[in-house]
Amino acid sequence: MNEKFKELVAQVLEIDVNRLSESSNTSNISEWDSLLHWEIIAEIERTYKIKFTMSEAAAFKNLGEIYAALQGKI
Amino acid sequence: MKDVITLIEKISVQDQFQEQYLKGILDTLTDLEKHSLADIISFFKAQGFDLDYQTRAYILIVQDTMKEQKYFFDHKKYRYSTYKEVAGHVYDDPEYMRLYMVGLILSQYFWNIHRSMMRHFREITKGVSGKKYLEIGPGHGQYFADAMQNMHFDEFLAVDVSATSVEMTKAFVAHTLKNSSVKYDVIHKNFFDFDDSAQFDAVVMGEVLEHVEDPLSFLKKIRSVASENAFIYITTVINAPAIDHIYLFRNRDEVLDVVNRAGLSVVSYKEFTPQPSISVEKAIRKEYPIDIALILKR
Repeated sequence: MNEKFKELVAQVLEIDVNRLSESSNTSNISEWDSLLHWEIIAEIERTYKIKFTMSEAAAFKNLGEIYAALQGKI
Repeated sequence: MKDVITLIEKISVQDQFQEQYLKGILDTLTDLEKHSLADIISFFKAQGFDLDYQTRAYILIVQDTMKEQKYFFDHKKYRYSTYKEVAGHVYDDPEYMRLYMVGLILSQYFWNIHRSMMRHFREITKGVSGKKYLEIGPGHGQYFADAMQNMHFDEFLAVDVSATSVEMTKAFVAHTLKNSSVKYDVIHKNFFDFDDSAQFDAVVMGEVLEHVEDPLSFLKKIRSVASENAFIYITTVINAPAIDHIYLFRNRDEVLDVVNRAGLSVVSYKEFTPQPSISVEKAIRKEYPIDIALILKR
């Protein structure tokens, strides 16, 4: 994952970027709940000018999966 | 408690965020709340809504709310703005309304923001008394049943524009207060059809203003049916999208302004956020949902 992507997510979560890795998700980042998940998705879509479907975005299991899906769209 | 645990397990299988969110949820509930939740689940089962139905209902409200939240993050506004746009697929669809109401009542226990509001209502209404009590839009009936248990009025009246809500409130109250002699009625009526000469010593309206196109008219109507020293309790939401929210309050001042314009004064207010870790200040800054409860006077 590149730094720009990680920083974007860290900014939404308002946490230190060093806490994020590919395995980061709702179970190991306490700030990451469903509300923040959708804010993360919205920010990624806005920044990279792409769109995830709702079911696709709801199924992401961790940050690595989001990043991989993003790579497939840009 | 077996059904409560099974329900949580069924929900957790279907939604990864709820799986995380509901972990340890029972530790955050008081013994009384756990008992009430178990009773509600068993009441719904007796009504023919088994645990699978209740799971579907809860997941529906979670997913619909998240879909609207995403829309809100994208567009900074609610998807719909007129009653007509939402009436067809929500209020006038009995199957959807039943699912919605079942899901919503479960959220009173599962969602921090709704649980905090429910606790606040129970706390501030304790011992309030008078002759006539009115609730506008009881929805699932939880607050109406609470009012009858917490407050002392000669008669309690609830009015709802949805036939499904009227039916659910009647059933819920009949179940919750089965051995009570409190006088009450639940009627299917548009609040605006109320005669202004009817006067109530308490008027309660939880989360209705965001469902109407013209909140000012609703508040003016409340003022007209409230007796001089009436206890008036209103709640609404700020930046809180949902499938049937059409009036967007963007901040606290917009809520206070419409209240004042209706000729009502604010005695006090309290705001609630989705998580204890999200302060009101942060919720305002990031445009996260806020629930606001206001005690008003004429």
